[in-house]
Amino acid sequence: MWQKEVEELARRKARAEEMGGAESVARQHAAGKMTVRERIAALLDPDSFSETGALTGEGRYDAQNRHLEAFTPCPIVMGLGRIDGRPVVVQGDDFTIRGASVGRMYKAKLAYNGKMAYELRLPLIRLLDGAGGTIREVAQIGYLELPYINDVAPGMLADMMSRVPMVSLVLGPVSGIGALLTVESHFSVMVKEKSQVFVGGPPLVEWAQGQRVTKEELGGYKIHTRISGVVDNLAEDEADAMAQTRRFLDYLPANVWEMPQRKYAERDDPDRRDESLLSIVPREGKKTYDMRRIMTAVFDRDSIFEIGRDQGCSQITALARLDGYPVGVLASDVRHKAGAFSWDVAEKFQRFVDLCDTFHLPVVNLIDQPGFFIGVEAEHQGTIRKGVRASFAVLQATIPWASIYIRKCFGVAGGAQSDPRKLNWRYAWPSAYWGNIPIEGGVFAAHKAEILADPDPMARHEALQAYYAGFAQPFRAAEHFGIEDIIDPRDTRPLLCRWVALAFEGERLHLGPKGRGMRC
Amino acid sequence: MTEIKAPMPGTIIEVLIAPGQNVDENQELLILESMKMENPVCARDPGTVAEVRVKPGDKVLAQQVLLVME
Repeated sequence: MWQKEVEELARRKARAEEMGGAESVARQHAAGKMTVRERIAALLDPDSFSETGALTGEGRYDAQNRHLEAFTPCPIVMGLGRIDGRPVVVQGDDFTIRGASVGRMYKAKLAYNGKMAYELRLPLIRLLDGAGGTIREVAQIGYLELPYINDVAPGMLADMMSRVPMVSLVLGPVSGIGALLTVESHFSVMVKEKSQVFVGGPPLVEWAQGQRVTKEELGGYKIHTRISGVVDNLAEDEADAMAQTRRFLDYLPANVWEMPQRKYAERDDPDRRDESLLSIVPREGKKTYDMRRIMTAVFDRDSIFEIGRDQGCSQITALARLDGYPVGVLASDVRHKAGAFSWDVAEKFQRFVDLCDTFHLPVVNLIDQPGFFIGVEAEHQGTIRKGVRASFAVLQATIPWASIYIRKCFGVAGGAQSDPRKLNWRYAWPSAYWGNIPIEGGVFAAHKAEILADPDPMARHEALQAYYAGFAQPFRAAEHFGIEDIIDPRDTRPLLCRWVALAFEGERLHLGPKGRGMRC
Repeated sequence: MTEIKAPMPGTIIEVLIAPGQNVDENQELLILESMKMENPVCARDPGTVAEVRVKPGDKVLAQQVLLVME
């Protein structure tokens, strides 16, 4: 009886599949980019996509206002799907339709998709490739709106950050609302030389400021994955960006009311003792070493997924597994700025700790912390405020926390590495030493008069340094219960594997949103 | 052309590459003593060393150009 309408439905859906038309799709391909529908198919499990709002768009009708003559789909494709069998909510900009410019229907669909993720408590994944707002919208509605005035989505997105995982893939140039959606995420990734992020793009910058810049110079990966921290990771191509997205989600629960999943393809021996751990840290304090070798030796084989590797480089943040249990890993990289805690480390550290706390990932902190970055530049950057703010993330977190003291731990930044009010599961390696004040500088400051009065001030200074260095052995701290235990570095993995099983059981009691909301 | 700059003030104690040399991503280019450590300064991207502007013993400021890559 309704055969005609059902046929029209099929025709309209087929039209939606054509996106911006053959010519537009060819241009997208020629630019080395997938179409939004190809992207969704590549990201999700085969045949798992079920679309919402495929019929949305602009129809043009004949003179009798009866028959559809032309149809332009709304430039956002969205719906439900699965990744590794787990349900997710996905949305993608369709750049082949007017550069995916944002209009009324785009906003309505965006808001609805957000409600799906929010109420169904599912991860939200965004495939961004769009130009942002368009002035054409003004002509459609007939007046100028106050920003956001009728839009519930922004407030809801802020709540969502504390409830479900959000991932943004930047797959083309994005500005305005696309830039906003890039950073409203727990993990973001951009494709090398195919994607850029800016608040306002090069034409706007030239018009408003008179400066000519290329898209790459203004918002390419060298800016956002290395300097600004606006995007977490770099991908070589779109497939890599999707692989990183699947990997990130693998460590997380679907929402904060669930624990992350313990899993392994093949169990890595929890009692494995890697011999290299005895010799990675050099005896000479001036020499650096590769912290990533320590991580590889301690965590499950091939389980380390680094986030923000190219920014705030003296701090490593990674997701990893211990006997199959997902954990967050903080680790110092002394090959950059001696491992010092700089402004960009502070931002990276704070976001990562909030991420782990929000999604119930116990944290393992591998510490070699010389202190806050010092100097003229560091003062200009407000290092102390940003650093102390980052330390609040540790104090506000309720996630189980294990610290391994590998070498240095000094000053306020050293203190920011754990919360003294909680059960601090800590071990020191024999190579560790720490203090409120470093001995090298502290001795001269405290004994200046005595050193300068000595006939041989250099010798006096050295003798005093040697005297104080005696206190620096971790065994002296252990005698006073200043550290609970010193361990053979080879025992690090077995001990952490035992801890993580207990930590996971404890964290089950903290399911749900944490008291501290997550900011982007 | 990419300038490799000093991440912090300090003293150059070793130069590990020479002009004309090809370097890989993350390869150590020189060693900068600062913050009581011998810090490697590494290439972020692969390239060829066009010019080295420092020698061992030179004191450098933060953001000073140490070498130029092409």
